[in-house]
Amino acid sequence: MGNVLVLAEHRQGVLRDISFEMLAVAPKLAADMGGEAMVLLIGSSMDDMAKKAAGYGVKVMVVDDPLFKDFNADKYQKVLSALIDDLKPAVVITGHTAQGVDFMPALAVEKKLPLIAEVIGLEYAGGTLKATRQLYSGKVNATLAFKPADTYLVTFREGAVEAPAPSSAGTVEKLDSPLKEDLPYRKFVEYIESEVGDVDITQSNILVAIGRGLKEDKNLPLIEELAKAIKADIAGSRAAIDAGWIPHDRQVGTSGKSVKPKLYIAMGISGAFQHIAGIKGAKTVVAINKDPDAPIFAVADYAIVDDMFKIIPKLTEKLKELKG
Amino acid sequence: MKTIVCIKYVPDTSEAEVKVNPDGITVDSSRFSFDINDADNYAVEESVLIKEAKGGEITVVSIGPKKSDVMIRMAMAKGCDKAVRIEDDRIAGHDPLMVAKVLAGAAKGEEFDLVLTGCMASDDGHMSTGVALAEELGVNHASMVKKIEVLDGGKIKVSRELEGGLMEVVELELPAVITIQTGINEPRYAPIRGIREAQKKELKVVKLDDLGVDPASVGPDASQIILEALYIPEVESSAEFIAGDPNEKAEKLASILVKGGLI
Amino acid sequence: MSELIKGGAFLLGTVDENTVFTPEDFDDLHLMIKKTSYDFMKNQVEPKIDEIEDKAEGVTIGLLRKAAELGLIGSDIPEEFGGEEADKISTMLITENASICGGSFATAFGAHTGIGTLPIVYFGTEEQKKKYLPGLATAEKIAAYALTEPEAGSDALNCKTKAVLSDDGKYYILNGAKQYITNAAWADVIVTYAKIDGERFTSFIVDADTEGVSIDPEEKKMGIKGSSTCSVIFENAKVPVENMLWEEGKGHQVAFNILNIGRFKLGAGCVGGGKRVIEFASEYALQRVQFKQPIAQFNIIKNKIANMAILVYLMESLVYRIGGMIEEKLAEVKASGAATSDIVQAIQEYAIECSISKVYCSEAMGYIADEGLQIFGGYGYGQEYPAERSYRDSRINRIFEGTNEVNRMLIPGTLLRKAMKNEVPFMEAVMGLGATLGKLKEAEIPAESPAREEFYLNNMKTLFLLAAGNAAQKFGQDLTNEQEILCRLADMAMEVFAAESGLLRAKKMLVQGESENSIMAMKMTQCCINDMIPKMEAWAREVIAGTLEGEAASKAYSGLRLLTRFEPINTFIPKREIADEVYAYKKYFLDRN
Repeated sequence: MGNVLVLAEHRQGVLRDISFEMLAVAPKLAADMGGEAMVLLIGSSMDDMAKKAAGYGVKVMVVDDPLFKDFNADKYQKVLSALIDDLKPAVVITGHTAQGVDFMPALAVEKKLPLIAEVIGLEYAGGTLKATRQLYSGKVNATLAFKPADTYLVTFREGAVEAPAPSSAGTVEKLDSPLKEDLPYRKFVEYIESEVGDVDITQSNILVAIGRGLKEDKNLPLIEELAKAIKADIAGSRAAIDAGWIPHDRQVGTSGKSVKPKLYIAMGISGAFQHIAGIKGAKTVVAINKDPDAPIFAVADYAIVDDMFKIIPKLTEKLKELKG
Repeated sequence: MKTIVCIKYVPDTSEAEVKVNPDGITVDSSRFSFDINDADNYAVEESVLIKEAKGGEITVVSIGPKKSDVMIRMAMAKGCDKAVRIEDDRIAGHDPLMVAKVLAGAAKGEEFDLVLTGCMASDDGHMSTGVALAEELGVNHASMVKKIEVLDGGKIKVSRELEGGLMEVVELELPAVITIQTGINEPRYAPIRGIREAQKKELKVVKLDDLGVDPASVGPDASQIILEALYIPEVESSAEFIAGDPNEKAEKLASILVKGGLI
Repeated sequence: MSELIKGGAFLLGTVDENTVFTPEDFDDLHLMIKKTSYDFMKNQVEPKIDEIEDKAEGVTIGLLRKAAELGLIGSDIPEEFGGEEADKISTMLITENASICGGSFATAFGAHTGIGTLPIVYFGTEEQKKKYLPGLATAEKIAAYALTEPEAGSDALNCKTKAVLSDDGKYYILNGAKQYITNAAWADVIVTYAKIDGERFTSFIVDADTEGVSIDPEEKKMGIKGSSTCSVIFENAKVPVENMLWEEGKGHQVAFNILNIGRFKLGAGCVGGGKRVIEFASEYALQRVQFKQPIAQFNIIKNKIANMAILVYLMESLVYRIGGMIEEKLAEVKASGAATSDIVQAIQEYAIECSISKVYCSEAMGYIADEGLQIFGGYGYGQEYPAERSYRDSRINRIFEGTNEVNRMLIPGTLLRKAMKNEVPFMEAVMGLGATLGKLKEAEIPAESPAREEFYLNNMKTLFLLAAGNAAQKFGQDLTNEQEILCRLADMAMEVFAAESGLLRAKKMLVQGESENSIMAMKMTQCCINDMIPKMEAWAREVIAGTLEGEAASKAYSGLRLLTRFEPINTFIPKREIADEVYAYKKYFLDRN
């Protein structure tokens, strides 16, 4: 049977978007493989989430136990390992997320199953499952084929596809937990929210975002002046945070915040996928970058290919003038 | 604390044009400059910081060509003590599970409390090797780590970087494999004295056979995935590109933003 | 490398490529030092260029101290005194990269690590080294070198500063003024010169806080504005007798040898500066659109970029070749338990090459900075882009460390002096001219590379001998007064040395197998030699016309015609390819790793 098992991802009581995005892919794949799509939820007290997932017309299986109150890669691996034996799914898909990457490779090794990570497309044809993924920060696509195996393991990139709308009501089934006692060697301690700074960029109306192109912190005043002129907040890519130019809570992207401003001005940001994923909610994107091949231009509404330092002073001046 | 740090020699493609070779499954890397993978560079620094605080010894492990010796010696110049470079063209490099088996083969020959490596390689970006390596070695792991605290009693406390700026703090028993996220520290420059000492440090070059790894178990036949094709994705941009000299561009953009009611 | 080549000997015969050091011979240590120094300069120094230019308080010194933590400052200082005691090649790599971030930092760096520190390294007593070098290695103490005086510039020995022994015999009392002293305002230690009793030219180490030492306000300069340049005034400055450096009356040995090192290091600095211009000029050209295409794609821009790349290639080849020669010589004398005088001798051996490095590289850098600015058009004239600063900064290279005029005259002057002392077989080579020319009559221009380039190069050497030999015979000892001839001979010698360094390097690369690099190296060499022959011909003609008359002149001209026989190649095509290679990397492509 060609069932496709999707591991729904949740954190702090909420299903994450990736859970639904995978449901844009799994049902069709399952149909092509002659099976059905099923969702697996691992956690504790998940009735609401189970119901919500079932609203996408799939069978939801729940492993509900206080042992799974917090994410633990080792426990997840144990559950999936047992369920692969029991359910014999053709494919197991998880998010290519901080959860998925933390146990799927180990599961693959344990079960001697093939894994393809950070997949953006799956296709089953002529008895072969093929996956598309990207290399060199999105500059090259790769098509990979699985050799025949009992179960194929896939981690799926966040934001690669649109989540479908909820459809008919599916079923919810509780499974026995294969894990009977806690694991002593890896212990969850706590979640630490990134320090909340003076600004919550997820609520900003206008964001001016900087990346590696800023070159150094002494160029920051130039950005601050522009931001001040248009009442914008300042955000940045991972590179800007790693360099220490702006605080961690200003990071836009998968490992930072997803933002939804009316206007997003990306300056000196090349636009790695992880960054672009965080600005999907932006209404208008302006990109200024000197590399004409920068991926950021693919999602921009207005684009300037030039050195940001050549543009910003004049832009600030002109904006001040026009706004009187 | 005995640490193994696994590093990868990768091309810098951030501003380079990438072209696929006529064979359709490799890229033309003749024009790339290669260096240590970004996240691995942070892993090296973290290993040295831990050694400086707790003492111990660091072994660098890398799979790569002769050319990568400079990168490996650079890690030793920063404080790593010895190195093993695996040079063998029988490894299915496109499959991180095969790579993890090779690294495990190298690690099994060493005593270790901790294995550090970058959480992601900037070329193929699987984010899989480190976690697979932990399973191969039968030890604990945590991925995407942005803080390590060494505790008493053979434990460490690490902070994993989750999505949305959230950190997950986990305690682990050693030995363990930790994959390091960029930004965990500030990688140092190698001082000349270190560079000179690094020339004298041991850098063993080995083949799979020397590690007791059966080449057939990590080669393309053993891998359960096949790289079928590489191609350059078509990038569709619906952006309006604003032309002119820098001043004109800035002025045009300003008026678009103001007239369009965007600000 | 096998047997040592004598300084200046390259002009008198063919050189085997296996005897020269090239950048392809860098070992892992060199490559790592190259990378560390480049990364440090690029990431730590370059972002601070504006502050450096403004002489912001403590910025340059702070960076020097950070560089010192990595050992980039003490590379020439022995390990026992807190330095790294690295080889000359390593030091040159550091010097090269210290120049990628503008002339101001490079000048401060060079004055401190080079002319400021080296006199103590090479000529200091054990006590002097112990006292000064550890602080200089960490840049806790900053060094300056004070030789020039208002009336003693090129004529350095016309020094008016006077030293008189105090009555108690414990001090020399210095009086006088030194001018254009780099690092003066920041210096803790000043190496200077004075004539004891107004007669015996002697070197001294002066602590800057010595009573009677004062520093004048900063000079207002055209370029290197972030470096400190002031006059240093000695007014009854009491310098302890133990601070006399080297021997009484032997200050000239210190001065000239340190200048020799300064000269070849200056060449290394120009390599770094030139590479940086190629980076920003190519990046700009690729970005600047005119007539609907990036100006980089216009062939005239490609031609400029290629000429810049060729000059960097030649500079790099010749500078590291000299580095290899000096390193080998130093290794030889060190192995035999070097006394200071041996080291002096070792460096002096390559005085001709050091002067060539200084003059050739400073002028190549001048050309590169000039054309780099031109590529920026109107923007290049403004201060918004780095081209303008690089242009201003590069100008000083032709003036300091001995003007290019003084250095030019030293090149043939030193060769002839060595010839007189039979240190090099110059006269034999001149005597053999007739035979060489006779053989050449029959010779055909080889069709293949590199035989063809070797053929041309040998002819160019012979052409130099023809011009220099006639001049030597005509003027004898008085040739030292024929400045125009000496300068032209210097031009010819430099051009030969540069082209030969490029050719030998390309040949050495080819032996390693054909690669993109070896192909480009050969193309650059071919273009260089093609462009050089007409220049050489014109210079030789000028020298002959200034030397000979009548039949003797006619005879020389017919030799000249024979020697300058060549088939010009179309250089447009290879130069476009060279430029395309620069564009592919947005930098000097042989630096790819």
